Amino acid sequence: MTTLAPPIPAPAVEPLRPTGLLRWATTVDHKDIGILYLLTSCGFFGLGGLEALLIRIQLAVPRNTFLDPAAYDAVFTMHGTTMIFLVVMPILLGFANYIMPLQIGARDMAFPKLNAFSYWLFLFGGLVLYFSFLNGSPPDTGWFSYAPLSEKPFSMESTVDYWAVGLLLTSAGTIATGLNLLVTGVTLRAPAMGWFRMPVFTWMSLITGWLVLAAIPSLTAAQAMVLIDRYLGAHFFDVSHGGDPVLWQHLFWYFGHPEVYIMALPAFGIISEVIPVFSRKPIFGYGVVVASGLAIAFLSVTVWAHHMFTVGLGDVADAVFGLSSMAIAVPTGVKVFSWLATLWGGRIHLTVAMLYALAFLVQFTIGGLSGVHFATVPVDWHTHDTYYTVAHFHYVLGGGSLFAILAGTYYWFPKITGRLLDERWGRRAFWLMVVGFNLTFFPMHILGLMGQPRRTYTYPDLPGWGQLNFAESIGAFLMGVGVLVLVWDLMRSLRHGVPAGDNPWRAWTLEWATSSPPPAMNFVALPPITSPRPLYRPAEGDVAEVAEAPRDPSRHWRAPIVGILAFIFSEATFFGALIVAFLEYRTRSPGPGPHELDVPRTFIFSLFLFASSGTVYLAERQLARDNRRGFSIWWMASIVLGAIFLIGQLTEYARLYADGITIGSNLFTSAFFTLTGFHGLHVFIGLVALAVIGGLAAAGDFVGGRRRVAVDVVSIYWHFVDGVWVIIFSLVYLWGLVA
Amino acid sequence: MSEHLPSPSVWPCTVAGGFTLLAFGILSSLALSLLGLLLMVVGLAGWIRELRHG
Repeated sequence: MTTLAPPIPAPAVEPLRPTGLLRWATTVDHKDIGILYLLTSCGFFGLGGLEALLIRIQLAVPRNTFLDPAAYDAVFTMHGTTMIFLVVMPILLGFANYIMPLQIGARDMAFPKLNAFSYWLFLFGGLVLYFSFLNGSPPDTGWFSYAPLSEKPFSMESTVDYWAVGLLLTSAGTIATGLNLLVTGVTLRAPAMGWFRMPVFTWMSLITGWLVLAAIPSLTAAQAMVLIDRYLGAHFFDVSHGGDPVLWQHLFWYFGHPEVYIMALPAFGIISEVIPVFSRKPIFGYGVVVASGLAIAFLSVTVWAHHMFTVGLGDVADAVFGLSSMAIAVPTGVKVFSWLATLWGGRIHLTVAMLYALAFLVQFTIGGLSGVHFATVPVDWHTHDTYYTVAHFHYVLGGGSLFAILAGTYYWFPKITGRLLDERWGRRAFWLMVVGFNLTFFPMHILGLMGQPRRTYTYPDLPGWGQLNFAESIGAFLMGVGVLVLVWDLMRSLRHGVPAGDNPWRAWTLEWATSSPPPAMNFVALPPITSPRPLYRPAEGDVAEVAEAPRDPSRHWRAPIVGILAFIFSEATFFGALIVAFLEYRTRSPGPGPHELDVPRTFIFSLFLFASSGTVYLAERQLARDNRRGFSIWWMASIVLGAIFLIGQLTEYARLYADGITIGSNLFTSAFFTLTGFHGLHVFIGLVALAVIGGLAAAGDFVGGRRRVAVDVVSIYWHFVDGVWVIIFSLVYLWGLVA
Repeated sequence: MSEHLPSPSVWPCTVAGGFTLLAFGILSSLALSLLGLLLMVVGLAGWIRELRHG
């Protein structure tokens, strides 16, 4: 052990902390919130698992009547929705919440209160989803909720509404968590931790944060459109008025495919921690592993339409998306080879965590290879709506992500609780899970190729179908027993497990440099950080590594500024989705169109909004000179100018409605009112923020440059809102004038 | 590294609860949405007050 860095000073006065339930309701500590995510997700996993068993009972024999078609639709919809939004994604976010700040030597996440807010939104969204069962209207249109099935004429009950509102809430929480992960990784690294001294798990969490911001707002926008269709009579996906169900698929899968990597990248991060530690060898090709994670994230937003080959997109689109889907297999394959090369020549310790990691390696590769099949368009046409697809995505998300989660559970449980899980019980659970998983899902490849359709509540008694389905159901119950054994191990070890000590695995990342569980402040002192493995000790039996050149960390970015830029990025995705819908529907249906708009009048009101960006800038300059009066004048002018714009927009709406032009008139008005309406909502929120800052300034909050960053954040947001209007005004009004 | 640990706060849960009621009101009743909006405003005010004194 080399010398430690200077101790981190303890807080002068430790604030009074609540206890019991109030402690959990008010906590903003990343470790507590990580635990809340993990426990809540485990609860939802129980529900999702129960739904899976109901599905397998129904499908155990041909022509079964255990569940009627409606019940089956609800159960399989909620199984998919639960496992994706309430289990796999939040468990991985829970690990990232708990582990990432520790791995970078930080006290907490960048925005601890926002972190707590994210968790509560996730929980409440999940509760809204499941409240639908009590109300007798559980979602039943599939986790993808394809249009036009999700439209009123086909789903009169509140089923789709619960699905959309529940997921809007959880998605908002997830977006905030993604933002927090990104900003934490960028701004809160320990002073000596440069970009390329971050552990791989932290890298993958950071990249996942970016991907969340890039992808999920597309789903949010699409869900908003569905709700507007259902409640305000718009026609985005209403075929009878020319609405396009394929637009839903584009918006959904633009989110849906990156979502796969949102659930896979943190899993890759876990595996990249577990395999090296239990091979006693640094990960092979650290830089390439990180770079391939970045490549996967960027490519993942270019492949969405491979979920839509059967729609009939045309040869060019099929070719482009087929190629991009094949391309994403390359960085994924790089990771697999990197893990294999790490194992090669290492001193393998077959702990339960390592067993799960090895099973991940095999199963994820199987899932990845069948994924390449879907990139081949003609193969996709034949297998898309069969159980071959079900096998594929369960090998990726179950055999891959879920097994990585289990590896992470055995790896980090000692850090979180201070006790080791029992390896004997762990092995029993492991074998039940491996045998059960493969017995459940491998035969689906065969049944899929034999033509068994997915998403149907029963199947005919064709040769071999009954036997293979029965075997799958046995496998599902074996997994269920495996989960029970795992829960037993967790409960038992929590009370009677062997004390773990600080670093039971002799691991190398910073979370192992503190006590188990870590203290409130996380660290008393940080060890020297000269690589992604600050605790690496070749002299103690670790395989030697080549020293890396030190890099200069980026230390100049302030968390609130990075945070608002990240937020704007997610907002850009949201508005991008709305703009795509507008462009699609601009001139598609008869009736009111761009020619109905009063362009000169709107231009005048737009000038007020554009001018408000200038006055905000002038106000900031006055604040920099500590001129409070000058700041207040220009700031107030910004509020007035923004309010005039908003009044102009409202009077335009009033005029259009007076002329009988409503959101339900046709596709143009649906897209026009939605796009401009959401922008107006953003202007309103911006005005509230401006008013709050104005009030704080009047109270003397920003004297002498104090809390100046709050003004900067609101200013940036306001400029963004103005910038979006430049695009909207050009596309909606000016283009209409020219056309 | 900051020397201060953030204090526990009831406001994130309050704002999230308000936001949930606001959205859930779409499915049930406008009154619930209004209650949610009120809860959000109260929560945000408390949140900002804590930030100022934090």
